[in-house]
Amino acid sequence: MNKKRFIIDAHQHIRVGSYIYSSKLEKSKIDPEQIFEREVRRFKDWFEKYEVAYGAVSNISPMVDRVWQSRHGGNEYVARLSERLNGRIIGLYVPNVFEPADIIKEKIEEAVKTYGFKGIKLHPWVSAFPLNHPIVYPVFDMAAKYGLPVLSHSARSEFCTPLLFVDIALRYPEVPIIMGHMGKQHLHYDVLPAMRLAENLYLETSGSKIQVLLERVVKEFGAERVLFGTDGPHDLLPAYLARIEDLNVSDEEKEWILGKSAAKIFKIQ
Amino acid sequence: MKGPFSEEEKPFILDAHTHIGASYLTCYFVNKRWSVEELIREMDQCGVDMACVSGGGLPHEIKKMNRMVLDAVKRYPDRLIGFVRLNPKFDDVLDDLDYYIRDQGFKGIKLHPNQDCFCLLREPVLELIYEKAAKYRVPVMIHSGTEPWSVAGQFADQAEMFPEVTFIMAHSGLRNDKHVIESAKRVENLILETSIGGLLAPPRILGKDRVVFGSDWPTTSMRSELQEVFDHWASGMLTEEEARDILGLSMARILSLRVKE
Repeated sequence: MNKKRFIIDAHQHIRVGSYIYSSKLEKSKIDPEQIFEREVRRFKDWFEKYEVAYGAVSNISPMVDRVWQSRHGGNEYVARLSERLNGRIIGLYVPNVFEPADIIKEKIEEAVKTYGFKGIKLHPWVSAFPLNHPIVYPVFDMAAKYGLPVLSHSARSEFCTPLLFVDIALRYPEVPIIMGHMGKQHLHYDVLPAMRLAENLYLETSGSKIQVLLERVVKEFGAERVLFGTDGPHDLLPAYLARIEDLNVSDEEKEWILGKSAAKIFKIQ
Repeated sequence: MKGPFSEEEKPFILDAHTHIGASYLTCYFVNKRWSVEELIREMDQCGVDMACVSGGGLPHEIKKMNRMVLDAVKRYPDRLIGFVRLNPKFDDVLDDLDYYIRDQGFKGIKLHPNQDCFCLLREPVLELIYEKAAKYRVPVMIHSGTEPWSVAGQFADQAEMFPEVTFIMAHSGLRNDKHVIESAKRVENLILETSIGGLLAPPRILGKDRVVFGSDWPTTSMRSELQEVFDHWASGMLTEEEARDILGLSMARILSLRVKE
């Protein structure tokens, strides 16, 4: 595949505010605006350096903070990043599932209508809730209402096993649900059975490295159900692309994985 | 494949972790067998000079796979380095160790705790295997990152108990284990191998010859695993010296191979 490729990175993060592995005290010493500007620079440089058309981005802090400091808990930075990156950002909204149902719904509506978010990001492991818990139903109700795909972290936590993806996917068959990391190296045996059970399940490739699994997925379910992602942006993009190029699947299937699948799901022209 | 070097300055590349024969992931590809020719072709395409190779497959296939690796190493002595896969549950495991290491010139031992259902620090035969590894001066590569069989703390504990043995933590914890760096800092005879888990820390954190490149081909893409090291080098996370060490020179020193530096 030497020709110009159409690539969407379906899994990216901006880091303004709290982070998973770092102390809040340390972070609070630096002005968030300063960090935001640094992040804008990082994204701009990355998009200039690599041949990626779009990135689906969420912020980490709204997943980490149980009580949000602002109305949207840091999701605002994704909307602002989107403005600065000339339309290359697909905003993924991280809801606070611990808020009352009507507030969750109100905020998602605002996120879509006012800020232009195109999808939802959930991180059951970091935020500490089971993916199929009733407190998450309001999120999926809104996803169904506005046609928003939902990307969620999978693996390495009992909160987001592939079976929980199946359970919520069967409850909301109209919502495309993307299994981030496709079980990683921890629950990869569950991926094929999960995909067989729910047709609205999709896979995102970052963190997973098992070639035969991905080849089996493409053969059995089609490349349309696989989205390329990095969990970046970062400088391992060439290695992550090499993994897709190296798959024993057709060039057309690689094109779907690298960009067309995400374009279809996120309705990118 | 793109690396931050010219053709004349291409680094020596030794892939510390490859397999032929059956895949470990038989759930996905029951009948697929990877031949030595496929391995050599992959190495040629990726610019890999040499590779450590052991047999994949489920426990009942181990002996057959070891014989297959022996044939492969005899056919490509300049390219392949044999690692014998041992299952401590086999009565004749020490005989196999003697046969492949002492008699056939294999350079290392491969253990796969979760695949073969034994636990580090809980399997008495392992002590006998490690004593022989010390006697023959060969490294022991062990799959890591899978609870409860083989996680970082267990590696550090056994490395402390057997200071003469070089232990290689295949996969650096598979990205499942957040205690790898701290455990590796406790001991000097614990090497991190990069396949799947990636580069967790540059050698300057742990010390020279403490990190080695491996791909775990054919489970993964050799090209992609190698490109990750190139990417770290190109982005400045690794110095040139560190990258060249990781890519092959460190493993060559661990195996006492003579290569052009």
